[in-house]
Amino acid sequence: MDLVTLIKTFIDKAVVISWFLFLLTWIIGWAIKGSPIPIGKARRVGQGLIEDAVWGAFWIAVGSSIFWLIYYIASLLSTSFPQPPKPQLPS
Amino acid sequence: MDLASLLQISLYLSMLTFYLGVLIYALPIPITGLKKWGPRLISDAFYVAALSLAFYTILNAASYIASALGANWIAYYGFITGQLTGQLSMIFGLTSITKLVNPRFAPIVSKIVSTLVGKLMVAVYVTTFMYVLGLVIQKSYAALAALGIALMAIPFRIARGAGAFLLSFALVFYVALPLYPHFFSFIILPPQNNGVQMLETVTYIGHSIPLQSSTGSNLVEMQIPVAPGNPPDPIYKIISFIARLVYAVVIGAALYLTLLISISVGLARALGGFGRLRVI
Repeated sequence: MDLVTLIKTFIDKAVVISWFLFLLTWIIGWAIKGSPIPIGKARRVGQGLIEDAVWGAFWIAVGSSIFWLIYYIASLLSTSFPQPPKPQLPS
Repeated sequence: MDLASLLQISLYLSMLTFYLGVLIYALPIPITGLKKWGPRLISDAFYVAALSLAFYTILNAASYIASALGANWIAYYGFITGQLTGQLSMIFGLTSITKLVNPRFAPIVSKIVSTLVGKLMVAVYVTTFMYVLGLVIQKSYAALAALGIALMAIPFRIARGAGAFLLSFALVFYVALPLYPHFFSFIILPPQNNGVQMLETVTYIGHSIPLQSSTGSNLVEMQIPVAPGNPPDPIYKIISFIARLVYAVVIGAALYLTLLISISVGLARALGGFGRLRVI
């Protein structure tokens, strides 16, 4: 297995784990937020977990699009860059 | 491993960094220190992906700047080989003198010559180093820059500083190393002989040394000055010239390399995000 394949395997695993963690965090967050515990701090923790889970899901969803956008901008820049001037040696 | 493979690895590493950042974002552990790594890794991933995808644009920009500044590798190699040829010729000439001189004065002349040859050898080493450095930078600056980006792409900023330094080192030296002859002529050898007078305290010997060929015929007779303040003699001129040359070559190269490394460190801080000039 070469290095690129190894990194791709890690990426696939990270994506799958991230989706599962999003679900888990979202459920735990709602569970804490909806639990009958009259402690404000615990509820804030639940709210924070839900927000983080939603942000995580958002980034997983748009990640490949953002990488494509970076590729698009980079290719635009590379084609629009002018040719360097030819150096003129003093005679 | 070629350039395209390095860039591919850095791109995939940046994707891995991104998904690790997302994974940390989605962790159900409400620890602020841990959660901070989420957005940090995501922004690092975008930054390194932009660097690796815009790699050839960066190289083109470096070539553009180098050309605009008047950098020319052929002129650089010409300057360095010219220096090297001069130094080696002087070494050859000095070692030949010991064979031509009258045997009575051979010990003292060989002592002076060996000292001068030793000093010239330092200049030869420095000049050879500059030549080899030029070859390395010119032939493999793209590979060094790609390796720097690949190191920057390793997750959790493990080799970010080293990668940023390697990238900035490759770019700065590629742009600025061919400008060394200009630096040398402007800084080290100012016009009208106003350069550094480094051999004012030369030891004077009150003798004349007849230089003879191996057949015994006098080639030239050189009078060494007996006191400071006298008009410079040919031998004094030779010693003074060699000392100035050696100091100019060594100090010039050391100054220029220090300058370039300082610029590289500054650029690395800007690229790697360790200084005040933080890009990401």
